[in-house]
Amino acid sequence: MAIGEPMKIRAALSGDTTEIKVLMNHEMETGQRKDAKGETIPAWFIQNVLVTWSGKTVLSAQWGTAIAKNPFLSFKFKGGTKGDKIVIRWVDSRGDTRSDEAVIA
Amino acid sequence: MNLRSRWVMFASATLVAAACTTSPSDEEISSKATATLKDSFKAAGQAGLDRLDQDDTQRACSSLSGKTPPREIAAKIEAANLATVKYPADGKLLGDWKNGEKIAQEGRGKQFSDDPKGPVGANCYACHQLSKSELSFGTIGPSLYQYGKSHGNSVEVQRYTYGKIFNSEAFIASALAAVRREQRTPRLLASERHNEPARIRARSRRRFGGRFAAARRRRTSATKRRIVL
Amino acid sequence: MNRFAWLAAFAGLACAPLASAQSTTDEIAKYRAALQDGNPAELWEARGEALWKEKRGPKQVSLEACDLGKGPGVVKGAYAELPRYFADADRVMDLETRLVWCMVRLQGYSDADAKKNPFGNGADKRSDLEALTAYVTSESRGVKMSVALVHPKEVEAYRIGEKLFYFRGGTHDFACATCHGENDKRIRLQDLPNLMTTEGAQKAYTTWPAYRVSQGELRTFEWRLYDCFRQQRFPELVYGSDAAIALTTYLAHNANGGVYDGPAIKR
Repeated sequence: MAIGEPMKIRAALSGDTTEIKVLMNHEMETGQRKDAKGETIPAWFIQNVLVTWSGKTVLSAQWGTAIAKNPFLSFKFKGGTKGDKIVIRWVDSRGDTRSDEAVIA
Repeated sequence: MNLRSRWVMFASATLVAAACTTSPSDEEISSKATATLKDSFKAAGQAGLDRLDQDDTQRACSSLSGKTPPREIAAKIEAANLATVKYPADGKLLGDWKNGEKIAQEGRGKQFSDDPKGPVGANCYACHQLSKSELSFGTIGPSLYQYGKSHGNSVEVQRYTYGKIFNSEAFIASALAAVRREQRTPRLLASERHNEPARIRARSRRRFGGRFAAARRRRTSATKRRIVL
Repeated sequence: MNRFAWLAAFAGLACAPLASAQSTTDEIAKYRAALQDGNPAELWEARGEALWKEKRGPKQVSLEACDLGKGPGVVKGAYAELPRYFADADRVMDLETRLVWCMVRLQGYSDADAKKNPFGNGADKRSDLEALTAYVTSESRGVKMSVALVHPKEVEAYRIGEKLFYFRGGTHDFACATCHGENDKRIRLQDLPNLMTTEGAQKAYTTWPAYRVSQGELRTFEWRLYDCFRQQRFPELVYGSDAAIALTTYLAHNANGGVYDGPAIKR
């Protein structure tokens, strides 16, 4: 299944600001689409996103069906030094979860 | 003869021999292409391999490789296709325009992915502008906006229009190939006008020249402003 | 409000549609530029790289010895020189056909198994070929297209591709040239490249494969040809067929000199 696919994370320090860009692998089904037979494809989407920097939460998000398939998230926060660990974790509507790490470059 | 001259002779002979090796002729490539096509497709849904069989018009147009046909060939193609046009027995060529709009909008039909029992549309909007309100129109074919206003709706115009919809090749050979180097003008092409009665041409001249020319130019540039997705 | 304020307000309203039409185009252009960052195609590239390096198939071997034309295992710049003639197959091959060849010869898959899922559909039906294509093509990003026509079979493929480009057939008399033979044309609101010009061929060919947002999948050039023929009302184009390779050779060579910029993102 899809859970095995890693996120692509880029964490870059510029001055005193760290910019995080992450591309996530997820179908993000809204529950509105119908398949070829005319049956509704059940909803399946990321509900929670948590980003931590050296253990401290820098972003916490609650997502819904308006977020696109294979979502791309980009944000900045003040702080960070090269080599610090960034951990990104999501939980979806089926209760599946995925966590990936990167290092600030 | 010294060694150097012998080498020069040998090299030239080899070059000449290489140049004389014949590469396949155009006909050979054409027949290879047709054979390649047959081996490269498989029947699916409602589309059988017979769809790859060309009729005379398709074959003639394909052989032009994108060039405009010479007048005699174009005339032959047009005549053969004109013969296929069947007008309604009761002579009524104008129908319900609302149904026409529906047919023009419908893009499905005849694809191997389409339900054979499903709608089969004319897909006019893929290539043409028609109504004022529909912004999602293509530009492969000329704009048909205000067609009735500019052409009138006399019996001759109705018969020409009906015939062109029935079989577009009846009035301009290789119309859909449309591979001219120069840009098409918004007006009818000379060869299209060739088939019109003289008084319609005269009316077009009155409408498209003079004070209407500026309006036409403005409309053309407005339609060129497009939404790029 | 005095009369001039009303007039100004009314004029502003009247001008709004024109102004918004222009700003809509600008905004969509900005949106497209923003989409370049975070192109989901990168997910396919990552998966493809993993598949390239993983020991798979009956022979449990990776694809790292696969020769894409520049020597076994040389991936960088390979796509910019494809299609090309391969002596071991005695055939001109595009990237996808060559990947199938390597999966069969190196990894022991049957031809049918290697080709069984060329176009993915969702999380449960992912295509390995699409992922591998994304990876290999990404390694040609920035490289100038240089498809040579040296071997007689390469020349023949080009000439057959050219003939097929003008082949009018099916229920609608469509040829490739019907839609791709003039500048500044579009189907509905989708712009069409003029593939008969170098500039058009370069713009088109250097941006496939691409993440097709409307499909939610990364689509390759074989897919593009297959889907064009479907809409031309032709029967189904066979994956890796000679016609697909011939047309790809014709278009890729016409794109020579263009800088390869894939995998890209499209509507």
